[in-house]
Amino acid sequence: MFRRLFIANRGEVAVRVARTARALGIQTVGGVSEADLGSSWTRELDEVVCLGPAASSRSYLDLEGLVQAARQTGCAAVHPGWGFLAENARFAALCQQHGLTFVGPAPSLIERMGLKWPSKHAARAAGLTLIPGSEGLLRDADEAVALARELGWPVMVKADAGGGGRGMRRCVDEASLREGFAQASAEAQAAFGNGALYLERCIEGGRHIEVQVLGDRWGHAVHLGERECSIQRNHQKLIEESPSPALDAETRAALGAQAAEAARALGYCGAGTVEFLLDPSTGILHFMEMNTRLQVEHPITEETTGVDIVAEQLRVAAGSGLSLAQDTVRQEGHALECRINAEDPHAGFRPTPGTITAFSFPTDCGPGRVRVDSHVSAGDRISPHYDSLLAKVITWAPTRDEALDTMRACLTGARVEGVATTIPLHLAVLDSPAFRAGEYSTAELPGWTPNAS
Amino acid sequence: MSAAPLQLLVETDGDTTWLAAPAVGLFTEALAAGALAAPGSRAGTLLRLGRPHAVHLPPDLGGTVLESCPARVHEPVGYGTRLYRLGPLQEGGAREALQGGTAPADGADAAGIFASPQTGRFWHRAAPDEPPFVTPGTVLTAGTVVGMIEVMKTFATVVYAPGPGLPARARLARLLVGDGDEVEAGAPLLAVETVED
Repeated sequence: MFRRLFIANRGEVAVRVARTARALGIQTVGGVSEADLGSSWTRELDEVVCLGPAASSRSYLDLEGLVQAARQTGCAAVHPGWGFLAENARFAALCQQHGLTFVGPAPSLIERMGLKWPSKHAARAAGLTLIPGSEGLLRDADEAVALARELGWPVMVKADAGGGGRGMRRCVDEASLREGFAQASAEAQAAFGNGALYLERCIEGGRHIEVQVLGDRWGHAVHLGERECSIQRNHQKLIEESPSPALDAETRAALGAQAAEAARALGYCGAGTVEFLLDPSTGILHFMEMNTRLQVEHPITEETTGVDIVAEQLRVAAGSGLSLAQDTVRQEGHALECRINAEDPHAGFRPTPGTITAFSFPTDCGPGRVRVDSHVSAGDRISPHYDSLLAKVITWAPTRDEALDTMRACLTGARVEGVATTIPLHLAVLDSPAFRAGEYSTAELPGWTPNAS
Repeated sequence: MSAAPLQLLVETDGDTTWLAAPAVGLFTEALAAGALAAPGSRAGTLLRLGRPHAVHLPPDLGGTVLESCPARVHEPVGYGTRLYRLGPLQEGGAREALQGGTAPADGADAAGIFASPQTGRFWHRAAPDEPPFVTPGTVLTAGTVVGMIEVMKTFATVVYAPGPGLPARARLARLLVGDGDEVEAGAPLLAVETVED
């Protein structure tokens, strides 16, 4: 195992990785920006190196600076966390080239799964079902229109290099497709420097279900069950749960096995997530994409399986085999996660940086147990430079109803003062009959009527 | 083999001037205590991934090195690590140049100061290749977009709003913060003058 680990990230994920590293006896070095220097969460690290000014491009995204910092502090490995450089193949390659182990899959695999069409191609070869659509990239709008007539309306055009909902248009007829094609292509060209598009049938009211997989370099791959992340706003996940209320035991087992088999076929080493879109009209689970990193919502899987996913990441990165086999993995009980952001849900989700004057979540409430993953404590100033995640509240209980009741009790008793948070939104969703019944989709937020800001 | 040169960061603390590392790396070929450092002169080398980057003083600051970093060879440094304490500034205007970031008493001739509604990063233009929303001389009325503010990766437009000390029709005298500068809520953004009808 590594003696010293460099954490190329900040905030909550830096704290999360440091916690497991400490448990494994690994020292941690954090590369942080000037704005984060002296923040309370940096005390969880054994050593801190200042990378550069607050702007991410000169700190958390500075490939050379990060590798140099890891080298000069005597680290053997680099954990990229999520976001920033976690899925940057060049960064992974640069680490390797300078003798550092990148905690994640091989650079070539990150590259392949990062582009939409190559990843779909790889997924299909590994036996997964794709959303019906174009065979590769579109030549022009005429090809798109001809294909859409064949597939049936509505259709989606999507950017090959897309992400975060950009370079994507839903089109209901020929006129809107011709217009959407031009807009999406221009948007993708501007945002990603790549205007290539492909087309898919639009799945209305789909449910976002993803499978956590782990692989090692010895050809083993396992899955840790699924998570449902359909509660979203602007393509940002808000509430996740495991298992998904939309799957029966048979479908669940088949989906997990399929995802693990795909990871094995890819030669996947590390933690990854295979994302599917469940078409409610057919019951078919379609492959969407694979994320080649630790996922924000990984704790709910840890709570239902008892597996420390970060520990497995470090173990396989160090060259060992996975510590578990598929028949030893048990998915038990039910876990929920609510992402608490510093945003005002009553004012159009405006970010609310400021100083936190109170920050506590009751952990002894309800029938289940509560886990809070956070880097924030009372007295901290929430910086305007980075994302607005304050905490993830995770509850676990033997049944879904109990996990939900525990979450309600915890969020109702939470005290967060100084900044506005998304807790009212979470409570509204948790209290909605549709969420309670497990009947929801990516199309809407049950229980939440955005009032005028 | 040497790569782009770097410039030392300047920090002042009362009468003391510090020069700090401009990036992460191994700092070497440092000046010794007692050396004279001329404005813009070379003051060491920063090794990054094995490549040497020349490190220079700012073009408007020089002095005597009073203190140098403890190990003058291959010292691991981070961004902002203090490398030199600089003695009496030899250049007459240097101290003023150092403090050039603080705006002079703007507003003295202006009718009012428009303050930032939020803490964040203030941008003069919607995209790097687009013209600024407003320039000195632009007439501002309620609702005129004067810039964008970036808070946690979210962009919001900043609009002019008349109020106490701010006329209904104002002419922009000057922008008080640079494009992309960080601002605190309530910090002065624009100095404006009343437009006489």
